[in-house]
Amino acid sequence: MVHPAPALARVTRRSGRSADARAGWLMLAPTLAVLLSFVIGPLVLGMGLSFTHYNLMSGQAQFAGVSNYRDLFAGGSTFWTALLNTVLFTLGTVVPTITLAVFFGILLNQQLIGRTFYRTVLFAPYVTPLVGASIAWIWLFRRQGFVDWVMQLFGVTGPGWLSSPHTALIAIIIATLWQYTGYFTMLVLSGLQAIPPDVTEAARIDGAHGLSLLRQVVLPLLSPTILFCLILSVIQSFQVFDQIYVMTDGGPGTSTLTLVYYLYQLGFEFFHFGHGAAVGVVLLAVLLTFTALQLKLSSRWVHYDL
Amino acid sequence: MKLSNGILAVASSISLVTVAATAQAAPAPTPVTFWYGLGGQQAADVEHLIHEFNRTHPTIHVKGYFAGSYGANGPEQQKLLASIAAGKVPTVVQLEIHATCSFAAGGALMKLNSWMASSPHDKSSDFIPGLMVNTGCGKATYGVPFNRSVPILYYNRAMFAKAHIAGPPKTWEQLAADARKLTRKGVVGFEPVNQWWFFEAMDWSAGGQILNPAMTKATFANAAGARGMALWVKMVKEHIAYVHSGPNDFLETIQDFLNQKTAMYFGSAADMAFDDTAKFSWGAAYTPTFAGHRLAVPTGGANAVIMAKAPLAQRKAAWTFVQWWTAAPQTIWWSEKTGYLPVLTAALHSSAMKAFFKKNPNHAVPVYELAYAREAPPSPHYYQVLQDIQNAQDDIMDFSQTPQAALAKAATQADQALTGQ
Repeated sequence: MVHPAPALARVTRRSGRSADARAGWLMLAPTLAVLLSFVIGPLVLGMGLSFTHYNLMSGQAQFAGVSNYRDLFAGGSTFWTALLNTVLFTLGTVVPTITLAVFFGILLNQQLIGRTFYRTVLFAPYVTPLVGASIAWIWLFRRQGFVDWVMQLFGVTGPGWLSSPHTALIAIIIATLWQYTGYFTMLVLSGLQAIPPDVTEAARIDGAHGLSLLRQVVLPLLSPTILFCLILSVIQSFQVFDQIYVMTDGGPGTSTLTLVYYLYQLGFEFFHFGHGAAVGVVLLAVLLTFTALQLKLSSRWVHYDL
Repeated sequence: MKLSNGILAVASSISLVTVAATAQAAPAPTPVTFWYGLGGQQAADVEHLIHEFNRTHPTIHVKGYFAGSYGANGPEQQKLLASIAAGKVPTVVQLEIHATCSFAAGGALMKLNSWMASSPHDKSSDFIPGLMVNTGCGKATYGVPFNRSVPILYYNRAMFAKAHIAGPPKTWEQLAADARKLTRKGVVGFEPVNQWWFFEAMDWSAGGQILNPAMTKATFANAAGARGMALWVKMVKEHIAYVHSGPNDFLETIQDFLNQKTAMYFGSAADMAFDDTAKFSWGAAYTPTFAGHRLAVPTGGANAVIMAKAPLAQRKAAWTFVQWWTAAPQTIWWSEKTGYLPVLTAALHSSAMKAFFKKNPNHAVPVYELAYAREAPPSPHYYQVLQDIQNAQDDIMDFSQTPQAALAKAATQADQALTGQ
């Protein structure tokens, strides 16, 4: 190792630092450029748009004050239906996804024969394109399709999953669980593998086994990973779009109309970009609140150490 | 030998130079980009006509592009919106008729009045009366009828004969009575397609209107609007009718008719190419009305529109293409192939069309029904109104709401859309 002389180091520190900073910015530049053009820029623009009546075709924007928000929040507005559906969808996907992910994660962390195979099978849906998978789900859920056939074996007549407003959202939730459980299982698995073996070893020596080991050692140490999964899957669920676009178009009626689909409808189908942008801003606010709340409440159950 | 080879080489290079010079002298054909929204066999039919046009018009080159379904709010419209925003528009587009005023309001479409007035055969008066509805907004015309249709009642002749019913019903009351007679094990009497286009027909056939004349208020949530829906609900509950729902409802309804699971269905003139594959004798009839009301039918399908921002030379070339497409030989070919309506009155009077209708009388029914065509409100917000109506229809046919309640809710939402901006 060659160390520079102390005096020389003092002289070059200043210029070295700014050179470092320049190099740093230079290296960050591509990412920053992408972020600014495709994330931060549109975000700011979208916020601005939500206070206008904007016509994408003529490019004309007319200041509208808060009228877009007033329309959204008006009684009987479709926005409330979309919000309710989004919350139901989120509850319906997040809770089972995380539960299943923890269950499968723990299972696949054991010394099983064919473990790699099971892991691959579980992860495969995640790398399947959503649109293609959704088309397959339409076939599975169609009247007298595979799902109906299985139900028939148990003597139950299928409800016409995607054609009934009572079951369409459930069908989309099932398709989503299939898609994402594997991904969260992998996250849980990596969390489990980060638990130092000596901690579990010590707990075993102290007499912890099976459930007590899981409850008192493994789950607390896994809690940061679970928190991460929770935040990620809540955000993902609030942004659900592809499955609905392909499988139901938000119908029957408004039974599967979610916030992002409503945003899309307002902007790109009805050409009310101001209204659409307002939905986007509300969605952002809701997600920020949820995430802040989750982080705040997490101090009660997330342990970064035992 | 060597000498002759040399002479040959010189001769061929001279001829090559000549060919190149000639090619340079001829101006490059004007490019026209044509976006259409029909897939499958119909796309092949579109491409066939484009090929024929290019073959016979060396100064213009039309390039067809399938931009996804042209249907209401469909992918083609999304692409068009993006192209307008990006400032790189196609020249001519097959645009769903109810979208005309939304795109025209944004200044995207070229006004065609003056070009049409001086056209040898594409004046407004040259088109079959009834087809010019929903081609413009106010006095401005933006579209030329392209692939157009009307709602049609299809019926199974054998089943009618077996049930001793002489002919297709003319009123909804009669249709319900006939459906009762036609229903037996495995067969329902009637299947409507529960989509907004048919709601327009039902509302109008009971004397209703969708919007007020100023297009500022929804007027469908009344007795007339609810009447048709209430009848369908009653028939479904009585098991003499069945309504499909979900993403493939239209196709499933047609399939039920082809598989003789329903004796009648309420569909589109554009289904005729499908129905022609039926292995039984069937008939096409006018949309029924409620007793005492005059027939009024919506039209569907798309117009050809020319984009305002395309360069003038290309727009002119596109106009040549559109006029060629609507001319009698092409419109007849197109109509026979697809079941969409022929568009020019001149085509109707041609011996070819007359011979075709004589051989295929069902294909003439929608053409005559056009005499009862009514314009859907040309409001730029109409898609949003239709979505509200569709949501109500879904709730009604699921029995989760009464027609009156569901339509009242839809009307409140439609009013917000109409006055919101």
